[in-house]
Amino acid sequence: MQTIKSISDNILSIQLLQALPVAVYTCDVRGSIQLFNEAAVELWGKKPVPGVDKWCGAWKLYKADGSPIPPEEGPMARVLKGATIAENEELILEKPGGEKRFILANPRPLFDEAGQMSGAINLLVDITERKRGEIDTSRLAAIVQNSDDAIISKNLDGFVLTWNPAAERLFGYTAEEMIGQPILKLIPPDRLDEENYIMEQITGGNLVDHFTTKRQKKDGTLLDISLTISPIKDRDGKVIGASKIARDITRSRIEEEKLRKSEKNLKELANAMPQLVWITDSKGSVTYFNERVSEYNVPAPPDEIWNWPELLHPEDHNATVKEWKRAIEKSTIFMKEHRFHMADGNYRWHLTRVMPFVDEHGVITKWIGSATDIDDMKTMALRKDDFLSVASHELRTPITSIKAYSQLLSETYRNSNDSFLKNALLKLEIQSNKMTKLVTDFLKLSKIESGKLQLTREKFLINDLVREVVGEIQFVSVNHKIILKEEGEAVVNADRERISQVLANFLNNAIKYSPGADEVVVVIQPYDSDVRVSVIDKGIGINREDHERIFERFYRATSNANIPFSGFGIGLYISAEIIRRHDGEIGVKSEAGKGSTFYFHLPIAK
Amino acid sequence: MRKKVIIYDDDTDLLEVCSLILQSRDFEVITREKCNTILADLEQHQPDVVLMDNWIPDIGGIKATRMVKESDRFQHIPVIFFSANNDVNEMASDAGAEYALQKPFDISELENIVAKAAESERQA
Repeated sequence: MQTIKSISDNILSIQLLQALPVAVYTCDVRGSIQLFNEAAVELWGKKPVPGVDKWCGAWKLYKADGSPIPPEEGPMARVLKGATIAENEELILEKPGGEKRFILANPRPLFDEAGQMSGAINLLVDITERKRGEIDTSRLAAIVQNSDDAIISKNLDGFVLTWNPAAERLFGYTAEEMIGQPILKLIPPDRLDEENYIMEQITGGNLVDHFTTKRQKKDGTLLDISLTISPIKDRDGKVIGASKIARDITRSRIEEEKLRKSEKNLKELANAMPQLVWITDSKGSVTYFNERVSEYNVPAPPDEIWNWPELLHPEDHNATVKEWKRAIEKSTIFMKEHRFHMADGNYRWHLTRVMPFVDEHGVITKWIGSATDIDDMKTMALRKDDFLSVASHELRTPITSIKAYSQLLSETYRNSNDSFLKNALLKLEIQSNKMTKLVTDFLKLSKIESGKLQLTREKFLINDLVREVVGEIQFVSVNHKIILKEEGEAVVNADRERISQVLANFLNNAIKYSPGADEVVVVIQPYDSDVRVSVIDKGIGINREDHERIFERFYRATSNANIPFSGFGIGLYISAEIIRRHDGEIGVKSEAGKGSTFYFHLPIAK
Repeated sequence: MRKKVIIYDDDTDLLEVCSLILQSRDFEVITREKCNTILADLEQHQPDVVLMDNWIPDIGGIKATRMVKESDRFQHIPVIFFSANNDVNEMASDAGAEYALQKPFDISELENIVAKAAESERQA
């Protein structure tokens, strides 16, 4: 722009000024704003007050980097001070209300006829739209540059226009090598017609989405690729090229293959197991079952979702389903013995176990179940129960006659003087009673094992019972003295007979396993809520390792190996069961060679 | 008049010893090793008490007892059910017998229960 003379009072000039689409304004030498056009008012967002506003009519002014400029340091002020003119200085102007506009400022000094500076004129070009466009473009460019996916653009003739760093890494060609080259360079010979298809879609304005194919690298190796190609349109909507995003799926293919193999492995494992295995959804409908299912009477062919309870024996159905539903409600493991309907029509006993699986929020997503065929074992167990019943019955029958005859004989010869005879008959009766007891105990043993033992409880003073049992056993023990120490009294609610048996068991053991000693002490100690009865001997004692196991069914502590096992007794196993059924505690304190203390606790009756 | 007891059991030794015991208590004792003919037996002998074992051919003690209890003519006769089985009480009530005796028993138990049953019959 040429330096122009002062243009005040020139109507044509003023009209020109007003007509300009760029903001123009003038200041005098002191900086007061003199003239301004409509475009300036529009840009500033306010009208300056002539004579009052100085340097610049803008609300706020900033440098291009965003740092604020006070008006007296703005371009107009600098020019008026005589500084060098900067052309097209980029600034940011803020309107009242906060809207920011990007502007280019072009200030010029004005001179009067004498050549003196009379003021300055400033032209402000609003470049906001252009600027925004630039920002968007550079953003996009950054995205494309930094993307991990290869992004390529080409024109309609198939020549590559852009090639990002990821494309370089993926295909091995640099941007220089590919820009201007046909895209066909990447396509393996047997797939060249894909390009026709793609360009057809593109020119039709359509997107080609996740097209799985192969492409060739610079070194000739093939890549598994997923392509997404979109048309590039000009402002009128005409397709002028295509943009391609290529993703290497070789890796994911390998992962997929691994996954498939691993799944196959698991399936083979599940099918190799001798159990029937299945998975249900969170509600209990079956979503998977292993091959064993063919051995069962499932509705054929098995649907994806069916109900495993349909396989149950009618007698077991209700109880099993009830417990299964309760397990689902409470999210607990389900375990039950029941019968399944087999493919051959028979029913077989199975032990079924179903476990819930939760996600990271603790919500059940599925149940996994397995059923093991226990029919052979169950049948044997049932037979054993039957056998025991029958055995005890069979044994008792001859005992009945023996006992009856011996009692009859005793009665017949009660007045006899033959002491041998009377003694013999007494012995007969005692032994047959013993035998009866043995058989009964044997049966009880099996009943306790199968959980069928009934307790008959009553309230009684434990001291009475202890005294009774001690008396009975003392009567037949000639070598040992049983000393009773009662530290207090307690009433319990228990099965008298069973507790006597436990105490008798302890006492008999104490006597049997202390052949060298002569004393056994029994102590009754009441506590707050329970009472403890202990039997203390100075016998051979029990090794520490045996302490826990000594209450097991068939366990014989090594230290006892030489002492003969007479009779079934009730044993420590049954004693433990009896005490447990009473919600009590049973235990032993002992050391090899130093004797033992066997004790049990019973809750005190309220 | 002496009370009459009819004993059903397949064990002959037991039949013998029970006879001895009951006879010494002044009972008239009839023994049977099979129970199929029970109704005919009852008709013939008109006993005051029946002592029935569980395991007895051919129809078994429970069925035989039921037959007695279902017949109008003989249901008034008290039946003592005896068995070596642990569940003798259950079996007795199942069969409809009024009394149960567990084998093996003391001879006094046998005497007492037969006497008691005979008494109750008289009252009926």
